[in-house]
Amino acid sequence: MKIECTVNGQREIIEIEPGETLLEMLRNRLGLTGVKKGCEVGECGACTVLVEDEPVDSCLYLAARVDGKEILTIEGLSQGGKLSKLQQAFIDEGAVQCGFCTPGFILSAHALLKRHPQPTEEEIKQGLAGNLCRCTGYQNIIRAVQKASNE
Amino acid sequence: MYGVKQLFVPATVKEALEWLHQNPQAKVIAGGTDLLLKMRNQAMREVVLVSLHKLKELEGIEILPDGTLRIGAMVTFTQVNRSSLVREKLPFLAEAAVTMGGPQIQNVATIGGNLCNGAVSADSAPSLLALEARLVLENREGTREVSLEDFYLGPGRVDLKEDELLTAIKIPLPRHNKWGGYYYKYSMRRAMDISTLGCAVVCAVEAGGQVSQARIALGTAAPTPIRCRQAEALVAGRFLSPDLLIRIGETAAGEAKPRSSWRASKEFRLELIKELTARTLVQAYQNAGGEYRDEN
Amino acid sequence: MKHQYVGKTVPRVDAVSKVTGKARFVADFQMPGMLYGKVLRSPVAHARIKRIDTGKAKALPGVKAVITWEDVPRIPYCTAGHPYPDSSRRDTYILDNKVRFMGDAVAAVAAETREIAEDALKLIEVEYEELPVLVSPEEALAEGAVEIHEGTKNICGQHQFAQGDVEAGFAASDYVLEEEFRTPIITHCSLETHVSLTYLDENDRLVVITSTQVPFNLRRIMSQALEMNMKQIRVIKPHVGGGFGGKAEVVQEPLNAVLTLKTGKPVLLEYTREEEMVAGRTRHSTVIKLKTGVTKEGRMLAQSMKIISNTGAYAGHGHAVVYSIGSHFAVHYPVPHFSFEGISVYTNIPVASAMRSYGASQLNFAMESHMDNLARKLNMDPLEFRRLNAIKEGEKDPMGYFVNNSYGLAECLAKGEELSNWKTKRETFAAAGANQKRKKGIGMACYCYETTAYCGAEEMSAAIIRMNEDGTAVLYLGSAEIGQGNDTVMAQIVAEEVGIGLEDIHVIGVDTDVCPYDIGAYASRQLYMCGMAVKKAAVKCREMIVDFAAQLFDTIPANLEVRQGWICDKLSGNRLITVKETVWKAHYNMDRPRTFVAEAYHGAKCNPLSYGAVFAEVEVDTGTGKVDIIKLWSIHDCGKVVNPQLAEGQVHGGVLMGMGFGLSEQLLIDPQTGRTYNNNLLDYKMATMMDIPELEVAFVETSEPSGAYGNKSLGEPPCISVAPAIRNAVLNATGVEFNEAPLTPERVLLKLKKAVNG
Ligand SMILES: Cc1cc2nc3c(=O)[nH]c(=O)nc-3n(C[C@H](O)[C@H](O)[C@H](O)COP(=O)(O)OP(=O)(O)OC[C@H]3O[C@@H](n4cnc5c(N)ncnc54)[C@H](O)[C@@H]3O)c2cc1C
Ligand code: FES
Ligand code: FES
Repeated sequence: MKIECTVNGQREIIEIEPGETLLEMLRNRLGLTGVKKGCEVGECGACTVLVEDEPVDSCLYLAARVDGKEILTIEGLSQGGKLSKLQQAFIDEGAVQCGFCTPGFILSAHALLKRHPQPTEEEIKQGLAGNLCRCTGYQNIIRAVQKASNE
Repeated sequence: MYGVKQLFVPATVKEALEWLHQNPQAKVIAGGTDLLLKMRNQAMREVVLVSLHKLKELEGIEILPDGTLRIGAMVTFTQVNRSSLVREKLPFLAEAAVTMGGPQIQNVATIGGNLCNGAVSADSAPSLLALEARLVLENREGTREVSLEDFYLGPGRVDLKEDELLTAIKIPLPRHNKWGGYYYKYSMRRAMDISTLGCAVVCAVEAGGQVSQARIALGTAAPTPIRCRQAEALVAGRFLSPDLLIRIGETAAGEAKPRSSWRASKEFRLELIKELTARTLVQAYQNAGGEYRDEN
Repeated sequence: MKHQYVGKTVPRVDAVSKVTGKARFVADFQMPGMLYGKVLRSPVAHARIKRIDTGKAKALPGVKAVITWEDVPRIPYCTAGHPYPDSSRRDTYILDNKVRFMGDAVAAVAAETREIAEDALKLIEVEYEELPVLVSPEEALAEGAVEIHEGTKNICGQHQFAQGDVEAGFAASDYVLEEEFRTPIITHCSLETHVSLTYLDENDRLVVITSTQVPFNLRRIMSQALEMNMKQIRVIKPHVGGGFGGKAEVVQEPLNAVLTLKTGKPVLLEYTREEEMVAGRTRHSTVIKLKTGVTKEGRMLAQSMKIISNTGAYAGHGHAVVYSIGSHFAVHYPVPHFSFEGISVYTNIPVASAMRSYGASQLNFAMESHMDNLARKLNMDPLEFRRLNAIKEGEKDPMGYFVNNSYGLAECLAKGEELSNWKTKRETFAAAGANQKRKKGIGMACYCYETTAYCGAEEMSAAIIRMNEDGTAVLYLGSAEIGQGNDTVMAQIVAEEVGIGLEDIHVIGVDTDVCPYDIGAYASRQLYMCGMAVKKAAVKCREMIVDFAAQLFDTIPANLEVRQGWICDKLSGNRLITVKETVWKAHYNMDRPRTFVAEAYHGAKCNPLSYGAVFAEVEVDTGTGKVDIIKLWSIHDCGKVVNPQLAEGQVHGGVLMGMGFGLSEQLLIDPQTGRTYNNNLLDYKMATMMDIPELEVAFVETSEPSGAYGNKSLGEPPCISVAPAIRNAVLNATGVEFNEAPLTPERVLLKLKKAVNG
């Protein structure tokens, strides 16, 4: 089946399979490999992308559903080669280790900051609770989001 | 890639119902967070799906002329949480909505899917049971309404025919002017977890401080989510006291039928039921404006 | 000496690629004609394969290969990613005619799509002759138990040692306490599962792009398992999405290689999460018996330990982990008389192997819980009891495995005592009254831990630095960046020693075709070992450059030195020329052109101890059994800190992993069938961001004389003492001894109820 959507600001018309996930469409058809796959069942958040500004687990989301929608992946965040505030804050605060969870976290945080430009620590935790990280203990990720929200 | 042979995306409920009637083997997909998982775990192939994601009629939260609150079946947990109407009329339900999963799941998972899936751990069930919610079910032939309590038939089984859709959940708003509710989700993690036990209480308080009425519901405490009517009877018309709370807990535990599984033993769940019904009652009572000093 | 880069927080060299999603992990490599590999997993925990029929699977359109045990070399190999000789038994075949746990590999398929591969698996017909399932070591060691590996009596390894006369020590003690502790099966949960991409290059060499901690050991083991020489194999480690020990092992690469060799095509073999959590690796569950004799003043006289470690279906790092436990046992609290007995047992459960701290977490949970129980019986403050008995400055390791030339334990204890306000809290919490439903408590635990793998394995690292013509440089590493920051600290060292900027350095690690040998990312060795190799290479490199500069300025090298990127006259301090310009001039010099390539290796027979302590304040909800952590203090002596932000990051992650071990994580297995119940990230309870405690990290910086910059281990240690510190805080809060981890709410609640009801 054919769908039409906007990915990282680019209009796309894509031929997809009915059982195809958004994750598969983005990685395999559009080469957006910044979308990571950690579990394929909605448990880790590594595959997080934004659909209409809201984070979803792209592994548990049929590609067919994004017909007519806008999608943002990590590749769309640093347009023009300039890092977003959040990306820079992740670097500055040491919020990146292996980096496998990082795109998902940054996108969840991006959506959070859009809704709550000045989130409390509790709001940050709630907003990022669907993303797992085994390396950082989350401490520096929280700091990074705080830093980006203060700028 | 999920094993989907065909995906039908109707534009209206009528179209959906007609199509369902023609294709009784088809599966309904709402958010897909239960269904897709099941398809993966059972390695299902050649599934025919009808997706509800474009059905505007299943969206929205509103107050009906008869004063009940209507939540469309496709309303997501995030939408329940953010709805100003829910926050105003049923604040505890707004909070309960975000005890499930994490943000990504809440953004996609629907309240209709949560109920139709029939899981005993469904996080919306205890609150909706305590609110005496009713479900609107439609097929090509017409519309019927059942209480949520009657909707649950047995473990994982609900009163939903192959060609039926759940279109809305109707919640009679509590009329008492001093009422409160609370949902206590007990799980191992503070997010991204299935409840080991869920307890919801809706209670109304008299001017003098007595509980006029309380409705107590439990999830993961029996083969289906349940109401604890004996415990409710015990509390009606009474003042809260440590002694009463212990008896409420014990009575609820007597009404529940938890099982042992690798997730939790029966013994543990019974202890939780005792403790949590009491705690949830106190919290709901306080939310209703009742004053009770909890020695904890 | 003042450093410009070492000791400073600098941005990770891979940070930009990671925050932009450009960093490539194995699954991000796509190749034309690539096939998808899938493994058929055993539905039973123990059986002989009587018959396999792959006919229908092979006939499925799109299927390119189906392999069973009959199609693979019949060569047993050891999967532990250590240097030769293997540290564990050679008990694994690429595929075998027997399955030993539920989820064991039975056959493998390569097909044009993942879905076809999955469908093909369903078409493989297997007839099993089922054997008794042995889940616990007790069953496996019972008289007449069926052997999981023939001729082993289900013993994967066994050893013992003693010093002094332990029985006499007990007899001379005023008080003897004997206890048993249990630890759960934990699993690594790297966000990236095991995954490899294999293909043949234009010379028909086998190329393996894989998520590994041990590229060189992997190449060696593959060369043995496949009977190929090392020249025929190239291993490339791209970015790795977490390892924690689970990837210090050859888990799937040989199987994938066979698929590529059979089809001649690139094959991507990617474990699903569910697969990863049964067919990946785990931390050994253990039963530990500790017996200790003390005087009434609290001095320990004698101690014995017996450990049974459940290694699961294959050895993996198997008994090497118990060796490591043994080597750490005697040094923490040196006593005149001690004895140790350890046994690793084969059972029909998923394979246990290396995991962060390599057994020390299990040992430390038992030891530090035991120490608190002892202190309690003696009516002593547990911190004072430890001070009295713990290893002291300058004291030797009775077994001689470790060196103790930089000692920070006492200071770690003092710092934790102060930061946590230990004394006051011990008193006030105790006085708070028994009737409260939420009870507060404070507890602590401490550790000492190795830096290198010596003397368990040969210790060696190497590095090559190649200067580009413009004075930028390429650093070739055999040590593996797996998220911990390896490439960044190594680049810091090059920048420091050569006198160029951090941004001037490009790190290549690891490609066995171009990088020098290194034993890999395990123990907590890389900064210590490879850091020294890099330093040596960098110093060589600088000396060559200075040499050339001396020629330029008609002087001798001894008169020159490098300062902040400049070559200066030593006497006057005058800046003569930048390092980068010197390199440029050297390359484009008509008379004596030259280039700079420096290589160095570092081999060591030295294993310094790091130290640390964790203090925990908790609140126990006696109505629900939940343990809330109010705050944790995590204090470490890792010698000198080379990059504070990276160091702190190691502590943050390690602490959370230790907290999981203490409170919530455990892989659960059906005792009858051997089925893993919770092999997914919803049912296996690692912490989310909502579950983290307040955490304060502090470092006690000693200077390790054998480290390149006074540094020693830090990668693993932060996870070690967290669980017992929490457990001891719960003891302080409730007066109840929990001798089994994790302290799940169920375990806590039911035991508290029992304690109340008698
Ligand atoms: C990682 C993860 C975490 C989770 N955590 C929680 C949690 O904490 N608490 C919890 O309660 N649940 C949890 N769930 C389960 C799930 O998300 C919820 O049950 C969710 O509400 C299901 O809604 P859905 O719209 O996704 O349903 P779907 O998967 O689309 O549908 C579920 C079932 O209901 C049927 N159905 C759906 N809508 C209708 C309709 N309108 N009419 C007729 N039939 C219908 C479908 O045919 C299907 O059988 C979790 C799931 C995942 C993957
Ligand atoms: S890969 Fe989608 S949530 Fe884990
Ligand atoms: S940085 Fe490795 S999982 Fe988050």
